Amino acid sequence: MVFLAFLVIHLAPGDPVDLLYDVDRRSVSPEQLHEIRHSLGLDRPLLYQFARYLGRVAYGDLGVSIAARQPVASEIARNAPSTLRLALAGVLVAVLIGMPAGILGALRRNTWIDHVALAAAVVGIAAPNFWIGILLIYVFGFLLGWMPIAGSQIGVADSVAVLLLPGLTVGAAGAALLARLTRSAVLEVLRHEYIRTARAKGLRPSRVIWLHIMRNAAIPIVTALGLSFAGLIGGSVIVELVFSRRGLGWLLVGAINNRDYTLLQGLILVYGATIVVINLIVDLVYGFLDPRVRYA
Amino acid sequence: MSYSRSVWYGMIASLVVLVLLVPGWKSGPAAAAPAKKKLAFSITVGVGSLDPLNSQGSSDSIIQDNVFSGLVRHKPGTLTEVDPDLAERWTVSSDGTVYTFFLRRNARWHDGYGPVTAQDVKYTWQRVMDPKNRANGFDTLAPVASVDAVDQFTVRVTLKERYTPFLINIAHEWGTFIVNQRAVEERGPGFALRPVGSGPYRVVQAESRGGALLEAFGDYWEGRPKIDEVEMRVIPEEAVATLALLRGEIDYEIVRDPVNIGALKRVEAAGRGIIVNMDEHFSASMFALWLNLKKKPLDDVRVRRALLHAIDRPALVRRVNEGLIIRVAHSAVPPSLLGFTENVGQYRYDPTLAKRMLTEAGLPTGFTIKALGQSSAPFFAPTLTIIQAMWASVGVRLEPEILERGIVRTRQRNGDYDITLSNPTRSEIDAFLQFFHSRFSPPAGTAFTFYNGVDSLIEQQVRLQTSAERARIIGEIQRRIAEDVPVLPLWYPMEITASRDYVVGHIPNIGWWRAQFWRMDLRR
Repeated sequence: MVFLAFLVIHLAPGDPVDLLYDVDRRSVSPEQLHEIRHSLGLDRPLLYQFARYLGRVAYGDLGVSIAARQPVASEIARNAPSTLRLALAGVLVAVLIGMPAGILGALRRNTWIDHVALAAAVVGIAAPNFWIGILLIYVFGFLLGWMPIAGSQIGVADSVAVLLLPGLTVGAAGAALLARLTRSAVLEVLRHEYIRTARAKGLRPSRVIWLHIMRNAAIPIVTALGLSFAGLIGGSVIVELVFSRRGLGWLLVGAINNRDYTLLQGLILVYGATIVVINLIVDLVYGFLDPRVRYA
Repeated sequence: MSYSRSVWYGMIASLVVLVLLVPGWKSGPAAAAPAKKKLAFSITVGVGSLDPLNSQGSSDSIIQDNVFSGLVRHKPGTLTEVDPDLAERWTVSSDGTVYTFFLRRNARWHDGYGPVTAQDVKYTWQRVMDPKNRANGFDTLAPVASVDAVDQFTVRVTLKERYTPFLINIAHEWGTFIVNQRAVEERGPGFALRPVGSGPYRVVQAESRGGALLEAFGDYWEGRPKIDEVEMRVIPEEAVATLALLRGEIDYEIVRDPVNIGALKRVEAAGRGIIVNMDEHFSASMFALWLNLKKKPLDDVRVRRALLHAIDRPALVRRVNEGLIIRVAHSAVPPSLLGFTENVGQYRYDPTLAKRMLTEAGLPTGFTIKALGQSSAPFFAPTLTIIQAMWASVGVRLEPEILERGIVRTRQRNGDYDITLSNPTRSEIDAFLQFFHSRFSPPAGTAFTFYNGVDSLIEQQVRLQTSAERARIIGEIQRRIAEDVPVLPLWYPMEITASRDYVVGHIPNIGWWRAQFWRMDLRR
């Protein structure tokens, strides 16, 4: 995966050293550019560069960002928490909105509740998230004035207020997906005899929903949540720009525009590793939830 | 029945919890103590490096303008005259090679680093002139042979030979802004985010790729600035920044997209608290179609003239810029640079004449041609769309190639284009004329046209002694360019900013993005 990423990045036209300078504003001589390129080792053959990169990664050295001249590892570490918070906010939104909507839809199948939830789900999945984001800013920030528009101020920490709109934006698609999945999973479970038994026993509705319905519907839902986390991280890229949040997505866009190879490679490594870890966690939780699938 | 009800209850409960968890939904824009005057401005790119040696983008330059000082600075509103800055006066030897700068005694460094001395100037410039550092300003100081600290407050700069633009060049170039030797040595690479300057503001905090917070420096030699704090916020989406300005969350915005500028102008006209700062007399920028003279049929001057006659420039300018008053360009040199003249051949819109010229050039059925431009410039695509329609009526089929910056730069360096769009900005005429000297043709530089018709004139004027003599030759250069039409000049873009109407003291931005906050005040 690392090699593929490396190859693809370097295949794209565009020279990171040239892009360091805005020629519309200042001139720079080709000799200067050549010198910089040489000092960064960018004029060596690709395979040599890749081998050198791998060697450094093995020691935990992710290199130095070409554009910012800062170590990639520290740049990523500095910006990761903000993206993590955003992704978590997205998960929370997806769960708090998607799951109840799905359950309701299943319980009140083919009523107006069900149809509204379905329609909302379609919009949530189909609408581009930056469009949703700007719309939310316009309505709640500009027209109503309830939320801050200009993102985070320097030195001011993330609060729920700041995370609400971006969380909604990132979670919209996840909520929609989760609603549909939950609905199907719950419908599937509702068919079963043990639900009728539980109701007949006279259990409280909430207990039936949680203990019997959700415990069994959880399996596909959790899997979907885990898989969609990857989508949440990807979706956060544009959302971070729209909401002026400095995170990994912000770094990624900058790195692509500047052809900042070292930073890009580091980011891809981190994203890839995150997804692998998340999938592992999902697998383990799966085993915990479903006794039939315990390992060892 | 009760099942779905409990689900509803659950959802409402979560919502209530969420609402309660949000303490300050949105505090008003001025929740801070009334005594401090604070200005927040937005920009689309974050901090790169605040060390003048290797700073990069517009954020860096704006901050450095407020945090550092040079020996001299531009007189407000011009690019061709200088005022004293750190040097309160200077003398020039009769042969024009020795400049002696007398530093003012009351210029002080931030953070307790003492008075600004000649040794700091010597250290700074030697650092810039060292080729190993690949510094900004290396070319600006190329004419310098040596820098000496004669005494604590006197600097002697010896040039290799007479070079009249020297003072104007160092007034503009951030790389030559003076830094404190001890601070650079103590802070090392950390200096890039925690710089020490002698300007009207000091850096309280700066985040890499992020924003910055500046506070007024009480010991600034010209007096403490009126605005106590300046905060730079990075808002990548200009539309979002415009909304924030309209809401009063920020006080000052740098705008590039004509759509946003148009919207702000309408709000200004309605008297709803916004000022759009622009003055069409000031520009150091020229937006044009640069024709690759190596590609047929652009090598025929009749074809080039025909193409220019086929553009209705006033209409184009009005349409793309949403009715803003922007000056149509006839000369290839922008109005704020030395030697600018409108006394050049002008090509009025005449499609009939254009068709006739094309026929004379052997192209009665027209031809197809491509134009390359960056997608990041908001007005490139609309411009090409309109020109495409205008040229279609004379039989020229224009195929726009609006591509991503990295790709465009690579193709420009390889000369791989028929026409390319560019709106260069330079604060000094010599730097601007490089665009028309064949020595800087790709890949050596950005003289996109491969034109060589004014090479000797450009070299000639550099050696002249007075501005008046230089201006005369520069006028000749513009006339020659207008005859040969290697470029199709369209208009002179301006650096436009918008602010709340309580921000006063703004001066026109010319050249590089500058926002000189120490000249401003907030009148609430």
